Amino acid sequence: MMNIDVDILQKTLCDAMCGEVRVREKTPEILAVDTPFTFPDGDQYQLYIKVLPGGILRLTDMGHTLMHLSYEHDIDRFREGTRSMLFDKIKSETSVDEREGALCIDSSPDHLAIDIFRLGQAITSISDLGFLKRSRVESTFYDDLRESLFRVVPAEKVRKDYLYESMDNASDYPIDYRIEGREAPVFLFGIPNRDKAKTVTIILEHLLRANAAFESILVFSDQSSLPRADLARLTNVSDTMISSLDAESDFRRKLEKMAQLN
Amino acid sequence: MAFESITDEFIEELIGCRKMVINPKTRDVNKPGHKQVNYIVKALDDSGHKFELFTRQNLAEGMEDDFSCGLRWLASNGESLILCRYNGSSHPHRNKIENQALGLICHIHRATERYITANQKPDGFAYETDNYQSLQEAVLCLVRDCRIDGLLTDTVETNQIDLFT
Repeated sequence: MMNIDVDILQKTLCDAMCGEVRVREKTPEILAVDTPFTFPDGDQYQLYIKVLPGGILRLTDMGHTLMHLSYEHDIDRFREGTRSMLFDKIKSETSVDEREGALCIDSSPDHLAIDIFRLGQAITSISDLGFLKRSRVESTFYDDLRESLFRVVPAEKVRKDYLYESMDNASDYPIDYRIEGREAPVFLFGIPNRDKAKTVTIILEHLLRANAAFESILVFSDQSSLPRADLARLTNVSDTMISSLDAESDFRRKLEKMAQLN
Repeated sequence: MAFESITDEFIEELIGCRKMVINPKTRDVNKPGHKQVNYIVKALDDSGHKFELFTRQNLAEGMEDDFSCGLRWLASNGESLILCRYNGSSHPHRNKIENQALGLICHIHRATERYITANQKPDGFAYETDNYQSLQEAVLCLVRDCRIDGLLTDTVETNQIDLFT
């Protein structure tokens, strides 16, 4: 055992942690609790205490966390599918309630400290739902798509960020990848989200209107997460779809049919 | 496009290009606990850049100082990046790289090459401002700083006279 006085260490740690916490009056009805917890952008978590009848201390974020997430995410999607399940699971595991968009815990003076940690843990986990999803769809997805593509098609048969110059304003309608095709060039698009799905619909419509000769293959991050109407419009103008990169054998089979591999 | 390669010069170019709101009559949407508006913004030069101007206001009593508005660049490949965000004074902020704390004061987040390169949140850097105290005033500052035309509600016009004359 190292030569450390556990009691002194505990006291030092407690003093340091207490020094990071401050309670201040925000309004006559609301106390704010400042802690070292921050969102990834450096903004401090917003934790408040409202005193309710019966001596209940309601710890609440006053609805800030969901508002913060809404800067970059459609928070309605936290109420649907997998995200909704994870959102509910986090609330359940941390015993956090949601009232009109506010995350809260009804506490007491004896339990306040541990409940602040629980609410902080819930805010972290809920924020990570958005962060992890965004990271996966916007960054890793394109990397994974590139890797999957080059596992099947030789690099010399592929042109990234291709512009179909025979069309007016070609630079407004970029094509993720142009692949040498057996019958016609294959235009491949990665679709990590709803915005990209709408963009690709427009690009494909313009290509068709310009009578471009091509076959299209669309690879989704998660096809099931797209609204039906967006997917329907995209289906009407596309040739082949891959529901996710997890369907790698289907991706390979379809690409091998369409592309020149040697 | 990988954001790792974005420079401060390119961020300045995006913020500084003249822009126009395409849907100025977009209505407020009430979400649980807050109100939000998202405007579509396009560059007026031949760059073809597209953006989203967003505003958020916490609706809880006593939380009037919890607001934000910002400009998000919508890259043509479906990715997006918050270029700047004008926050209310409801919370402290910490610039993680500089280890600098901002108190309960309005502050402006700004995407920087430094934070992107350090694998931090691109808009993790913020600086204090006393140019606004409300969401309405913050939006006016944002449209002025980011050269956005076309956001001409009666309220904004009235406040513009107060702020800029």
